[in-house]
Amino acid sequence: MARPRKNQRKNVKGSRWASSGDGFRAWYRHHGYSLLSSLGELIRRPVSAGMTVMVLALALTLPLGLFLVVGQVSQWTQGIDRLNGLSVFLDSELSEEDALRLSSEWVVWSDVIAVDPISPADGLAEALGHLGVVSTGFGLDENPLPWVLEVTPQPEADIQALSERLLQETGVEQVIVDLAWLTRLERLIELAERVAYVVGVLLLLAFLFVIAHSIRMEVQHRRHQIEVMALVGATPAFIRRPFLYSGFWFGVSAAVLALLFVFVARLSVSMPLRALAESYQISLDFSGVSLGAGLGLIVGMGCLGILGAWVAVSHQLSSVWSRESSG
Amino acid sequence: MIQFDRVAKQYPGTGLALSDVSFTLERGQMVFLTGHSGAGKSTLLKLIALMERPTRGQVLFDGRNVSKLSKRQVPYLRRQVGVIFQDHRLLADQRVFDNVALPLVIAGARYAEIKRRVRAALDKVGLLEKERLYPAMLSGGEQQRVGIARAIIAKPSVLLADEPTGNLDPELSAQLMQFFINLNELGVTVLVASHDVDLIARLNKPTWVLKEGQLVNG
Repeated sequence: MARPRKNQRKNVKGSRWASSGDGFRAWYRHHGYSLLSSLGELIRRPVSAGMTVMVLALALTLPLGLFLVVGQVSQWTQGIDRLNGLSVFLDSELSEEDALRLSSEWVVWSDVIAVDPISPADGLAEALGHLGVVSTGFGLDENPLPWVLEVTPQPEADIQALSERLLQETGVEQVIVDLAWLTRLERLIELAERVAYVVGVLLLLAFLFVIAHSIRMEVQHRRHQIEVMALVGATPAFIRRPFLYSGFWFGVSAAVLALLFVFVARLSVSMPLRALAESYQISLDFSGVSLGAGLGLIVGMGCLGILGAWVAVSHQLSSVWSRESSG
Repeated sequence: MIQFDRVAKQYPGTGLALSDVSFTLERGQMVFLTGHSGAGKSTLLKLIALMERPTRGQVLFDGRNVSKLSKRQVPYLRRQVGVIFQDHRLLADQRVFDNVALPLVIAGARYAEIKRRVRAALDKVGLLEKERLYPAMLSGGEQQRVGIARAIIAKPSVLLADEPTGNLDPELSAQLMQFFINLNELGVTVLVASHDVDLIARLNKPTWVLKEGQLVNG
């Protein structure tokens, strides 16, 4: 009689151990198990996992690329000071001496940063360059262009007032403020930014639903396994966890792949872009995703993956439990 | 340990699987449950293992009414019950080792401990050299033994077996029953549902008979 009783006590101890685990260690062992089993599940079905990741990555690449392009263009336009300046056309009979005198007078004005004289010859060459005509023997007997002074105002200067003041100067024929063009461009960029946001939100929703759908399929695929695990005493949290990890892996790998896509796209665009910029004698560089933004994207998409998986798995598991308890 | 008080169970759309069952299974007891197929043996085992809830009456486990357990408590109670299923319920895409290890993984045991205990359990059912195989590579009898190893690995206080000798030849059946008797001698409460009346009669243990959803003697 003594022997069974002794063993009984051992059993009670054993079951207490089994029910409580040993706290934190059991918890991280559970996480280790979930991590490995979720990875194993992805590796075991590489085609379906790969297709899901590909769809997710493409859904990310489009808004990511759009944001990069819009951000880049708006950065370039901020660098175009010259467009923000005023072109002062002098009377055509004024000489180089007059032009230089006027330019040294104006440059000391408080709301002027710089005055850049452009000779009729330079102006013609630039105009011909813009038109793509190389030849100098254009058939013009005489250069029709006057001296032009490019005035760069202080950033906070009142352009309207400055242009009126310049117009009253002697020898000034015309002042051209190309502000409307710039304003229109800025509006256009704002519109593109808004479009990028809308597309971004829509595609993030698509991202979320693709993950939720994939996890839902996975839960259905592993229904038998879930039931067996529940029968041998797995808690809902234990059953749920590998799926959350799967969602996380989906999100992270899609983000990494999307960054790779954007990197390749940027490489393929940057050569012709540089050539284009050189033809305008300016330097444009297309900067990619910063390290911080890239990491943020990876972590954020991982979290979004967990969220999508959570939604799908909670819904699916509750249907497993209710089926189980109703018989 | 386990007490049924006027328990009835009805599945939706069918008749009563159990109509009025009362019994007490003491700690450390070993009982056979027999009856025709469809007499309600599986239902009775499922009620103990919390796979089903009674339509009427009370099921008490260690004095606790299992119908009143919250969803959070159910998994912990299940860990005290080892169940050997008629259809094995093994995970087809996991190796024998991982199938047997599952209850310990769920309990959060250390890997070294899992390895040691799985090996010991597989040794006990004579499948040590097959730990790296998948269930589909095993015979029905071997799959049954994997299920047994999984059921006993976490040292449950109660072991339930639903037709464990269904796929086995008489010699293996007798060995298996002896195995249950040994476990019982170590203090495990054992309830075996079986229709192998000849075998049961030779083992000299209390036998309950279910007939049309009722215990005829018990």
